[in-house]
Amino acid sequence: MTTPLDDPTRLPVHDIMCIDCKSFYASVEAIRRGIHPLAADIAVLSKGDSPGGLVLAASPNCKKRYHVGLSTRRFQLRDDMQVELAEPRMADYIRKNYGINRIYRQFTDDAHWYPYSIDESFIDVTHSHNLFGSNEEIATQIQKKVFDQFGIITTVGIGQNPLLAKLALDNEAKKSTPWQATWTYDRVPETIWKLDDLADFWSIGSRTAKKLNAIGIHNLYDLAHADRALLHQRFGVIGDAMYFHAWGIDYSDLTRRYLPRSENKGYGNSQVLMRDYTQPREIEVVLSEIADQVAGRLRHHQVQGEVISVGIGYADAEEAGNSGFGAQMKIDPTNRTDDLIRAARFLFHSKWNGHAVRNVSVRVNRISQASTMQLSLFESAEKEEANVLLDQTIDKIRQLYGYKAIVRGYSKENGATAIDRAGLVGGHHG
Amino acid sequence: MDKETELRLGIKSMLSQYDHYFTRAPHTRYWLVVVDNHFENCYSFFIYTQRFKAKLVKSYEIACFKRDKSLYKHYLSSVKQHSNLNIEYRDTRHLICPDKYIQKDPIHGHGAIPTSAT
Repeated sequence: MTTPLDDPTRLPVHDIMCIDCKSFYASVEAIRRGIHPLAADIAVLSKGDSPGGLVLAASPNCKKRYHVGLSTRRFQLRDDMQVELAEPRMADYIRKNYGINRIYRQFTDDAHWYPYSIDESFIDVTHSHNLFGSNEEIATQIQKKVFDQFGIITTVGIGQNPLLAKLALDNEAKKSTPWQATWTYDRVPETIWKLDDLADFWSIGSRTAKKLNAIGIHNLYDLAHADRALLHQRFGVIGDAMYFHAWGIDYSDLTRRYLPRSENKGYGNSQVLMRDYTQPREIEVVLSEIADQVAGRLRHHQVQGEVISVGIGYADAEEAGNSGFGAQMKIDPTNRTDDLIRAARFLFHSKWNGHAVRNVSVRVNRISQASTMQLSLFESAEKEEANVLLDQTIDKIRQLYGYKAIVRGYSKENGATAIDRAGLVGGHHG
Repeated sequence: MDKETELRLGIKSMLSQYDHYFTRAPHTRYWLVVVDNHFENCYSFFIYTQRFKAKLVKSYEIACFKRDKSLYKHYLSSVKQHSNLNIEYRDTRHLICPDKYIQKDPIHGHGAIPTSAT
């Protein structure tokens, strides 16, 4: 049988590192309190005064002892847990992320450096060995520099392509000292194929795992030895990608970044609500506030959009039979708050079945420059112009004096969140 | 803003934060932690709260300022004048490992443990 690994000349071979800051937010808070990050019992809790407050990160100890981690709610934390609760300081985490990435960039050029998330980055050190030594030496130097400068423990997955590096990180490097692991094509049978759960594999979620189970694929070994034509037939190009991933092959190149095409670009905001929203008016209020936020961003960038979509996530997904719904519609190109609010409310009412809501999002796509304005047949040109000026004036006031200086009436109603969220960074304490 | 005004406002803000979190709630223990943070070149003051018989602890930063000895003395003397809470001193050059070394009282009464020991 021929396998994708038979011809080594066709395999991408680089020295890629995927570097992660261990329990990043919790480690930053531990250091701030003079505690070693690996010995701390810290959970970073957003909106800790509310039972719906969310844990954003927890020290390894908390995860191990109490299974407290990302998305644990405040009401799930018991008094008998030896856990220290800390408020998040998002702006500080962003600053530290910049500082830590500056260290990574000392070991390669910017084209071969790819920040993946606030605590994870990829670097390609294929051409850095003459200066800094072997992969392991580079990884050790990075770990030491980051710890000496920031007190943060970093874990490093090393692979011949980004996928292998990421898998090495998630499945081996994160688990024990020296917080490094190397996965190569030679080791695919003893590494990737030994992963029990398909959903543990990067790029395969629980839904895809279920679909794969349905065609008799229960683990990575099965996936690697499945009929590629069948995978392609069921999943399209994603099926091909999964097949090659199961062999540890990933052709992505750090120097070739994904740039969204302008027609695919959009502006959106979302919120996880602090409690279940069951009253339609309350949900309308939050939708309106998010639509206002999106409209403000469109005006700030001097663009307008003509496709609006809303996303609603149910609190009781299992009971509801599905996790929520999305709906979208085409509108005249606009960046006016009123237009977006009207459309968002319409979309919500067109599909909502009365289930309690926990997630809300509004997104505007098909963006164009706001150099022209579509007049409406149902509104006088003078009134439309006055409304545009009103939005611009509100934007200016907010720019000068902050969001809370001028808010719409509905922001004082039950369920409104905009006033409380003003000044937050990424929805959390700055 | 001159340095004196900055210091005065900084201390005022710290004490107001202190008053905000030190609510004298019944069956609640409060204490202060002062951290000499060489990583961020700053001093941080925290107020800790813990309910009676609970292990869960909450901590809030009430002040953070440049790592300057004279500033530190001012902040510390102000907080001592304002409060009688116990103060625990920590230093990031000797990160503490409560779990490993303190078996009975993870919060109070321990010294600094060198980082290399971990």
